[in-house]
Amino acid sequence: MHGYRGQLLRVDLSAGKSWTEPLEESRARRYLGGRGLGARILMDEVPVGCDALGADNRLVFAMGPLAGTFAPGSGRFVVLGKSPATNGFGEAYTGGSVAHELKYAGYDGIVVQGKASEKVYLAIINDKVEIRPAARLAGQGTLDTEEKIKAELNEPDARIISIGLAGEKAVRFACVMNDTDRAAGRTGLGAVMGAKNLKAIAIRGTGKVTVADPKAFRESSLANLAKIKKHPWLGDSPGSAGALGTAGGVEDLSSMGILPTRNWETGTWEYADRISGMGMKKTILIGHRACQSCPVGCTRVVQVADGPFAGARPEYGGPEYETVASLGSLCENNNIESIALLNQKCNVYGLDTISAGTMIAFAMECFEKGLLTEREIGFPLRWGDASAMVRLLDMIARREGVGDLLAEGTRRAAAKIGKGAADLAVEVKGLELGMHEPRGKKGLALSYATAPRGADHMEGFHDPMVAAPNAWPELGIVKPMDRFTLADKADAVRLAEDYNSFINSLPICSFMSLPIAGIHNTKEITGMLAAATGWTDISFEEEMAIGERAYNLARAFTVRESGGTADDRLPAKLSRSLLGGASKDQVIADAELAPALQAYYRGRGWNDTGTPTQAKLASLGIGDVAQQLKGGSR
Amino acid sequence: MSRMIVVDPVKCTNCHMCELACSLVTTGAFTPGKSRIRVHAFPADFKHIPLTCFQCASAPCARVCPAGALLQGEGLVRFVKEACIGCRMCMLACPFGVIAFDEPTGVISKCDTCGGDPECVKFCAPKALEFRESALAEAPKGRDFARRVADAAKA
Repeated sequence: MHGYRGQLLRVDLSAGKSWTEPLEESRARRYLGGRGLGARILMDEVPVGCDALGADNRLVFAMGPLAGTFAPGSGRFVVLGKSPATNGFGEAYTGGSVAHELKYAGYDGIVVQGKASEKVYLAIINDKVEIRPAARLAGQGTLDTEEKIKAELNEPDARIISIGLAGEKAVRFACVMNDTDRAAGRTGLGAVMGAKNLKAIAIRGTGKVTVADPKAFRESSLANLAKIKKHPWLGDSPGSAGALGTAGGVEDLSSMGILPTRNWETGTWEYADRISGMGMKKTILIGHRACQSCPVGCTRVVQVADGPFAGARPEYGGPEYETVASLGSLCENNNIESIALLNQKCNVYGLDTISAGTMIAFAMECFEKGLLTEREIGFPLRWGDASAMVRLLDMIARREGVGDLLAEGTRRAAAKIGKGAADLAVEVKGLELGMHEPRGKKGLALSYATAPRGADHMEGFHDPMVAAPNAWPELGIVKPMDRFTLADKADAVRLAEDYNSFINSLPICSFMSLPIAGIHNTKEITGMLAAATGWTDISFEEEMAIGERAYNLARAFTVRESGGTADDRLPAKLSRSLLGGASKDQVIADAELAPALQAYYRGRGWNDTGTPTQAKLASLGIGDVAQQLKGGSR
Repeated sequence: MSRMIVVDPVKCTNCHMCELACSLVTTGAFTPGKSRIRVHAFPADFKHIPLTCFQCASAPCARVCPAGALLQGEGLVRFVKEACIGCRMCMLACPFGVIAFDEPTGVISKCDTCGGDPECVKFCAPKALEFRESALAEAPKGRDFARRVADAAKA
């Protein structure tokens, strides 16, 4: 089989053993890799209602047919498991160099089950797999862990996946880190890894990835590369993601009124230019670098050697958009040096910067409204107080004092605080919102409400992308759509989700398929997939079916675990007016969301409570899943 | 005038696509360990240095080769695979460590600029690699530096 290595590595930490399992071509073509493959494994193997932090949960690392090649954006893998944040489908994507290395080592993925009796790490040197003691790595940060493991194995070129203190302490938004500064950020899978007593996975691979038709593969990749290089945001322009990073658009977001600020009270902020890509470039930026096989290089590299927030080092990269918003505008913190330090601390501890910033903003609002007192916190926690943020972040990672409460995530913390704190918690299904304001891009609201992993900014589309005519003709999205309306977007959201779900099953970086400003590279992506695998008859329609199948599996897992879909709702704050700016007074009322939800469910072939039907699942070739969904087949 | 692969480490983003392009064209598979160009990363210093054969004008490898497998040319040190006896003296002599030994074939492997059309350069998105006239190789660096001086004088 070309593209793939044709096997998964299986590890049972309870039994202390590992083995390989073949990945047959039929399974590969049906689920592809990444999300599709991982979601199927979770559905089949995670017991219904299992404790996300128990031995029965699975932790899956999945690549696909393009990792290891020069396909643009292919240095990508996904981590999956039942989420301790949402108790539903947990999944997080990351770049760096691990995906390639695992392929060279001989695997298309790793499935970890069980729980080690003491802290261990996994050493994978090609076909030699060892479970090694890791007691001396307890509490260590990402970089220290990596350096110690490389020295111990005498493998300076090993690539490493690890968790920091937050994962060990079961912080519900702990992430899985790799290559020092890359994060599989969302849904708390670092806590799953910590609960398995698995500190790290070191990988060294010296094998090869073959493609079925090297000449055609090269041509499709070069054609794709040419489109990417010509693209206004991915190419060489002064405002591109390479030049200014993902935070290049912060000023624009603020002027459009959709920069999440002050715990989602407003979408416009006078200090936007201090935390933006340009703000960083003028102050702390020393350059940029790329994940493997990425022609863009959005990764910021920053350095802060002195001042009150000294400490940011180049190894830890620098803050990206989500981070400057969550630890910046959302907390009204306009000090970019402190954001760089907080970002680095998140990378050392292994914390999702989105949820970490949201927790701090939530706590700040609780403090302001008297729901958390100075006595409970230990110090005043005022908007924009960067020093207090640093202290609080340390406490969360260590689960010290009020940090222990905040380590539970907004939903659980708000429930414990009571007194109306739930009104200040901005999450869906227990996952904090990505830094994208749905009141000013309402198509996104539908994805937030329905996505398998909760408030997910990576599923559907961001409305400004489809504001121009002919934005995504491949999906039939040709008519310009107003960002302030929700009506008539259900079909477009669904189709975008399905295509993105295909991209996430490859998986390649989402930026390499963005329709924004018309990249239109679906043909090149199909060409790369066909040439890599030899599936010369693969079509756009089959890709959409792969995406839809993966999406439905992920949704089915969440429905199965949460027992229903009453949680397809938006946080209370979004039903209140956005203050100030170009999106002023926008709300998303239940009356607006409810019909959109029904239209969306119908389009998906789900029943009116949002459960995938037997007929829909059967049409996708996964009819067996319906048996796992109570009430799914009316 | 002969051309060479000119490396600008400042532009390199550490994406490693050059290694993959090289390994595909030279081995038919993606296996960066076999690439004739390697990117060395120093994360603490934020430095990424691509290294490949610089086609020395007076190449130690060609001078030391006892089998006539490495031949000094103008702008190219030519490797004659059939003549190689696998003694690895060239690897010892090369100051840059850019000659590798290929176990399966028992001969060395080094950059041949893909016969004057290097594949790595085509895949280098940030243009850290360029194939240029060797005599002018460093001219852009001089211009960049002069630009910085000019900017500083303006400020």
